[in-house]
Amino acid sequence: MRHHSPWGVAARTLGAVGCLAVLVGPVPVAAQTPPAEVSGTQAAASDTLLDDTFRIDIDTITATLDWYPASGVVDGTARLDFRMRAGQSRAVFNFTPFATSRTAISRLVLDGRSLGPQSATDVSIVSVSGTQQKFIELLVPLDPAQPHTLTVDYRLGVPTVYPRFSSEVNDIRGQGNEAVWPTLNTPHEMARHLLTFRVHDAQAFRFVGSGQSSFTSSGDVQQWVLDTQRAVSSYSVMFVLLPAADTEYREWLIDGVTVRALAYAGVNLTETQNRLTSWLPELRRRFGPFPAIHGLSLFLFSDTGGGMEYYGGTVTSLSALRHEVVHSYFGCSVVARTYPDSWYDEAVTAWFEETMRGIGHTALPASYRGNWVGARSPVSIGFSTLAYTDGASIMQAIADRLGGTDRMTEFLRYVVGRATFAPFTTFEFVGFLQDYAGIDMRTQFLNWLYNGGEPAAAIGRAISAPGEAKPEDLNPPWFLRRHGQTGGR
Amino acid sequence: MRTCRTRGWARLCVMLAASLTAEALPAAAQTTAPPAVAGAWALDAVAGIGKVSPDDLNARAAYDATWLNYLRAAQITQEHSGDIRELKDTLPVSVRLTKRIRRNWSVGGGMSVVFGRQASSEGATYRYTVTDPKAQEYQRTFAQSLEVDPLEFEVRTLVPHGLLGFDIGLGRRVRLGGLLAAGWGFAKCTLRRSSISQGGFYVTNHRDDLDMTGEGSGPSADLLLTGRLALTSRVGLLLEGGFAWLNVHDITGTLDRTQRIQDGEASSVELEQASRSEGRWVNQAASIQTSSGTWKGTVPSIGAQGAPLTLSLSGWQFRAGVSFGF
Repeated sequence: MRHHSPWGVAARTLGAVGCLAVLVGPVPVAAQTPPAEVSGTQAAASDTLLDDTFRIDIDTITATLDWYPASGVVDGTARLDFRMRAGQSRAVFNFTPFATSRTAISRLVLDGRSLGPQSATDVSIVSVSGTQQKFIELLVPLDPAQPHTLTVDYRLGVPTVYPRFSSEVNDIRGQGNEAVWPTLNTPHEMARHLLTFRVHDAQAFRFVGSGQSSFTSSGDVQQWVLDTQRAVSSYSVMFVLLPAADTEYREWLIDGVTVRALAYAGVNLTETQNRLTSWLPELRRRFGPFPAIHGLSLFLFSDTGGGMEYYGGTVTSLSALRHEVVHSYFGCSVVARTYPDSWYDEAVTAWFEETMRGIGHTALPASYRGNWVGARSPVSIGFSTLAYTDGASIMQAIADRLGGTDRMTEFLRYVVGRATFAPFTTFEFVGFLQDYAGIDMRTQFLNWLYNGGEPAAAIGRAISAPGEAKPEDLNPPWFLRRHGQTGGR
Repeated sequence: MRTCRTRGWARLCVMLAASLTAEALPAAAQTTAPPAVAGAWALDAVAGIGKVSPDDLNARAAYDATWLNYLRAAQITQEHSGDIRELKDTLPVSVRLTKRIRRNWSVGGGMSVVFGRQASSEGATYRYTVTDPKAQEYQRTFAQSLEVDPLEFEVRTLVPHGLLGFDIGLGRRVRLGGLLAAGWGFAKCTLRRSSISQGGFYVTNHRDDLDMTGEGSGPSADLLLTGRLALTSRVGLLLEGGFAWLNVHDITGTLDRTQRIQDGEASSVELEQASRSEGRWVNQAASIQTSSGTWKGTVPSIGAQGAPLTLSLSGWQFRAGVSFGF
């Protein structure tokens, strides 16, 4: 993701300039303690933590979203087909509207049995140590051996200032599509998504999304069915609905990739096409075929600014386009196991895209000591923005060890071939490097990302989470409204 | 009307009246006289207040005030507390020994010390919701808090000096005149700053601690108007005011800085970097994008590019003290 909102830039500039009084060097480290191997026990502990926290394995998410632009309402019906993870018997899911106001859900059916969304005996909202993310726990024991189905009817409020309904994922904040449909907000949980969007409005709309889509209409109802065609991380699913009158739409076939570009009027689509015409073949040459089955869907909102990557898609400015398209490989297909581990995809993407533009990176020195993966629980959301800078320098350090940019991209192609849609951790990434080139950088990674210590401590802290899970008091009904409306510009 | 009620006040009143009407008073009332004969010595000690304007040093205050208020002009929810302050006031103390070489002239030497310190803090919080259909995210909430606590300036100077004084008697107890002192000033300065930046569009928590120390020296001169009121034959009150010059152009020292980052859901510090620079203090260019435009200025730094910093401790001084004659 790249974020370039004016105030975001201002804030970052301030932060940076505020810190520019001195050029800062890394903390000198007198001696580096050789770290111990991350044992299989620790890896298993991490897996156990993830299973204890997320509990279910979703096969398919099927949702129908009826959007009424004039009234700012979306009526949704979502169905989760899932199985329990090993050792789990009570299902959980993430769904922000319900976690903040139980009134968002009108019907809850688990395996044909109606549950009371307001019932304290059927549903509990729980907190988990290590994250602010709330989990909705269904207090009904389930058979681990059987598949299960959860159906949820709900209503969402959306802004009415302008008729736009789109995914608003922000991976830096750890905000995924759990704001729109029930799911699990963690990168490693992948499910096929079958999403039906129905727009109830007289004016014509356009749609692009992360998957194959089909369109039908009947009267004032325009309908798109989006199929990701494979299991993907829920937070990587993109959808955009916009008035046709305000947008332009183009389709191109570039290097065998079908590109569907939706843009506000005024965005330079000619330049968009030109950039992709050179970029997509470069990516294919370096990393292999474009990973998304359906091709590439774009929503270009501006010529300048940031962007957010999605599976086979991006909501982006023209200036961030190349960066976001690299994420189709790293981040949306080659997926990190946890949010904290997803630093790697920003690091790879920033390093590669900037290197290709002639922007060099300095290898992160061996004396650098950071803790920006180790400081976060595996179940936490978001990742460190140091990934863009210091992370890119980590990639440069690997490139230097491998012998240059070409050797580095060959290694990354190896990672694509080995780990596409097979979520991995930071240490598994280190293992890939050892397997590929016999280079062991475990010590450096521990120093750079875990403060030189074993990640066991973080795992140990977080693993107690389920035991500490406690019911969450609901905020009063006015909480969201009050905080959402102050200070509008 | 205030009357002189106590014995001390009465004595002072008498002397003041006597100084103004010396020729009219009977001789019996003229008990003492200030020493005004060649060869007489005087030991003076004065202290007071000084006004300074060390612009290069205070640039840090201007920067921080701008940083804290960068969204002040925007129509958003905001709260402010505290007030970042510049270093403006000092406490000058001077001790000198003079010898009257003629009836109206005296020479001598002494030592001046100037101490100045200003510690202040300020905080700001901003919150707004962006609803922009043409943005990357349709609706986003921005919440940020900024704090500088403290911003602390401290200067100390030590100025050995020689002096030349001229005064004339006004009556028998008051002498008015001027004093020129010249010497070499040795200055030390310190800049300490801690800031916290939290939030924004993302959940960030950045802490920054800065500690700069430096010292240097330069020529110094004071030009003062003086007044001396004899209390006894050997003791007098001194009042003086004037301008003191001390601009130190070559400050060298150290800069220690620690940055700590703990963003998002990190349960502990993600990155802590400490650095030290040594060398000359310079004015490093800095800019801040605010809601009302781009602010450009400088901040004191070491190891960065910029013109040498001048520690300007020149300014008006007003001092009072006592003089012992012997």
